[in-house]
Amino acid sequence: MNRLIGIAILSLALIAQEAPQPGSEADKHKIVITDLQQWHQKKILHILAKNHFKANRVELFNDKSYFIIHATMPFEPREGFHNAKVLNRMEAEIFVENKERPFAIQDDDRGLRLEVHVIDKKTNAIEAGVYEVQGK
Amino acid sequence: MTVEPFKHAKHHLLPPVVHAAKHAGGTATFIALATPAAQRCERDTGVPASITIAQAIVESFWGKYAGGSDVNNYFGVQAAPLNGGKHDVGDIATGFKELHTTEEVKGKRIPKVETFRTYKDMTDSFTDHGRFITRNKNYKTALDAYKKNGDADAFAYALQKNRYASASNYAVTLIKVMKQRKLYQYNKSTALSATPNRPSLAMTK
Repeated sequence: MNRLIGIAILSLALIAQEAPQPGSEADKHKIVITDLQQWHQKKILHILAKNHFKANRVELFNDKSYFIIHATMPFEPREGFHNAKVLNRMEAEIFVENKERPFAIQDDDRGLRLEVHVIDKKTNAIEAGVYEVQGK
Repeated sequence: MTVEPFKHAKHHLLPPVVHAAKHAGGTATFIALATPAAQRCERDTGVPASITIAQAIVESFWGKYAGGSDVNNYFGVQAAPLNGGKHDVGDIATGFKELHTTEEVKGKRIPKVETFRTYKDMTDSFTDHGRFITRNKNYKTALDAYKKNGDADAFAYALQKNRYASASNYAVTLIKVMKQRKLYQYNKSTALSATPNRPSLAMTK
C-alpha cells in the first residue's frame, strides 16, 4: 500500500515536471530543430521512421533533456490493441535511446500529444498518455 | 487484467478476411449481440452500424481481446493518466484496468503500465468509440456523406485515409467483413447502403 502511495506521489511529481505548457519558462527557452539532419538523435529518428511516424521537427526543453517530436502518426494512438502493441515497443526503444528519460510525440494534424512518463524510477517503469493539444 | 494486445495482424497488413470464430458463442452470436449496440451507436453518433461491427470484429477478434464481461473494451480504447493518479475515462466508461507489460530493448527490461477503459456493456464501448470518431474533424465529411448516401464502404475508406489504422488494407478488410457477414442490412439507411454488387474493392484513396 505504501509503495502504491509512493508511486502515486512520484507519478504526480514526474507528470507535473514534464511536457512544458505553452508560454511557460521552459517553453520560452525551447530550441526548435526543423532540419532533422542536425539533430544528433539519429537512432530515435530511425525508430520513428521504421514505425512510419513522419517526423518534421523537434522541440528541446530544459537544457535539451526533454523533447517533443512533431510527427505524423500513422494510426489513432488512443485506440486499438494492435496500435497499443506497436506503440509499446516504439516507446520502449525511444526511451532507452533517450537515456531512459521521458519524452513526447505530437501530431499537430490530429491535435494529439503522446507523452511517455516514468512512473517508477526504481524499476524505470513507464506509462504513456495521449492528450488533446492545440495543433501547430 | 485480461485484455491482451491484438496479436493476429502484422503491422501493415491485416488478414484479408477474419475467419475464426473466437467468441464464446460463435460469430453469429457475436453479430447478434453487436447489432443492437452498433445501431444504438449509429443513432447517437452517425457512424454506420456495419462499420462499427466490422471494426469490433477486426479489432477485438470477435471479442476475444475485449477483456471479458468486466472490461467490455472492443476497440482497445485507452485511459490516459492524469495528475493525481487519476485517468481520463471520459463520461461513458465505468473506469479503467491496468495491463502490465515489459519490453526488452538492448538487454534492458522496460516495464510499462497500460490502462484501458472499462465499460458496462458492449453498447457503451461502441458508443465511446463512435464518439472518438465524431470528435475528429477529419471524419466530418465522411459522416455527412454517409448521412446523405448511406455508403458505408466510403466510410471505411475515410477511416483509412485519415489514418485510423496503419494497415494499408484496412478499408478493404472492413469491406470484406461487411460483405461476407452481410452487415450492411443493419445500417440505418439500408436501402442506400453498399450492395453486394458493388463493382470493385479497389482502393479509391
